[in-house]
Amino acid sequence: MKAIVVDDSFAIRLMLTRELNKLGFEVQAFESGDAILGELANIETPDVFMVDWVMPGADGLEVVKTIRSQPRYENSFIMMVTSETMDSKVEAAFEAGVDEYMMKPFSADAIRQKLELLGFAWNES
Amino acid sequence: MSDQPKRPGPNAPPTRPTREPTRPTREPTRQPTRQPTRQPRSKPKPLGVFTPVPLSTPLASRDLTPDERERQRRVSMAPEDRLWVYLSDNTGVKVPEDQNYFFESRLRRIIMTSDSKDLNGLVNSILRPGVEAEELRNQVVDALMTHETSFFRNPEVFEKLETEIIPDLLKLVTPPSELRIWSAASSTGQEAISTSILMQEVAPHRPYSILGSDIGVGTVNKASTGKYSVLETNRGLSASRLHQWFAKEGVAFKVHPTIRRSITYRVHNLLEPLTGYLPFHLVMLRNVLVYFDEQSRQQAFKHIARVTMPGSVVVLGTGEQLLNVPDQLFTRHVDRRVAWLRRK
Repeated sequence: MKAIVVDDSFAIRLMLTRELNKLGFEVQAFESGDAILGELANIETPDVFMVDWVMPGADGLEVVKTIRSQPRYENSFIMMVTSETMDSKVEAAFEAGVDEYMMKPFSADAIRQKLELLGFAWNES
Repeated sequence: MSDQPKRPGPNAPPTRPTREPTRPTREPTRQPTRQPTRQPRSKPKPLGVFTPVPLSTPLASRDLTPDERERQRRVSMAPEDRLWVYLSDNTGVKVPEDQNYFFESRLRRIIMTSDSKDLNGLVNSILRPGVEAEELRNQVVDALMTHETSFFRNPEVFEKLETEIIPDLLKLVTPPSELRIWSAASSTGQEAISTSILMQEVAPHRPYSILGSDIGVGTVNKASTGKYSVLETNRGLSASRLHQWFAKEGVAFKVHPTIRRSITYRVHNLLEPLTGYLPFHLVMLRNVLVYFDEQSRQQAFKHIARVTMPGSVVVLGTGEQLLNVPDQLFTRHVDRRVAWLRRK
């Protein structure tokens, strides 16, 4: 399983990467929207993108729209991970093609629970 | 993905679902209910059965009655042990005996804000008879009860409720009569709210009411506000359900009045009979009996049997199918990890 994390906060990238690793994901992290958009043609198709909204340069919404415009990523889930909590923002994110929405702050177990809402499951171990 | 409920373990490879593009909706959407959380959550406490233990009555042992001997034995016990006995006698809850550190860490804040100097002082205070000590006792029990919970905790349970149990129970009720549900260890309200949302989704036109009860006063007060932090709404609640059933209020989210109005919260100890309610059709009794000793469990089952009608369902927590259930009152059912009882 592969996950792409896009967030301009080092701390969030670190936390998401660590927790996703624990859940069995191989993680590639990008520090901005521009960085992921620049590499979009080269990355391996992930199972899930975790995308921040507010970032310098291309914002998360733009990243989501670009990802959704490419058939290659049709089967990849996108989760918006953001401090934007307004209803209108949530609606806009879903309109753009987001599958699930996680608001900051979040706890480590919320990551797993949100992924489970998308249908990811883990064997008991 | 597999339909076998699983809980993720560290570094266990996840199974990958198929993405079916989802789009926003204002409708009460169903989202894939999947895996939820971990175990413990709130437990019961009895407020009315407290028997004060006199603390400073050193009597000559030759004069002691058995009761007095027991009191003296307790007075000489370490504060952790006295607290353990109090919890055990009055709440049915057994804190593992090797976890005394748990008391000090959980009660540190209360010790600091009360007149007590240390755990011993606090235990002395709460074991005094009278109303003054009651509030302190409530605070202590609240602090000691584990309140780990999340929305739609153990999604396989809610799938079973949605596809089988609730449709089945609705056949027992003729509108305008309500389907009566009791969330019997409702903690901070997530289970009651999840059940109410499910009712809105499964049978939007059928009347229902939910009683949410918990032993913790603070817990019930928190549930009554209907407000949840982002940290809480992130746990088990999909964005579409959050969007549909909650409204932003300051930094928190407040549950929709339709949901809130369907739930009545109250403090209740499962070791005491519940009175003043019509019989329930569905009782959610998850992750609470596991904290009880066997005798308390049987007592709780008897009380629950008195407020349920034949054919009604009691849903147990994951793994609680192994509990000793009174066969004369209930039949036992297990499907994958979902365990429930049917009232005879």
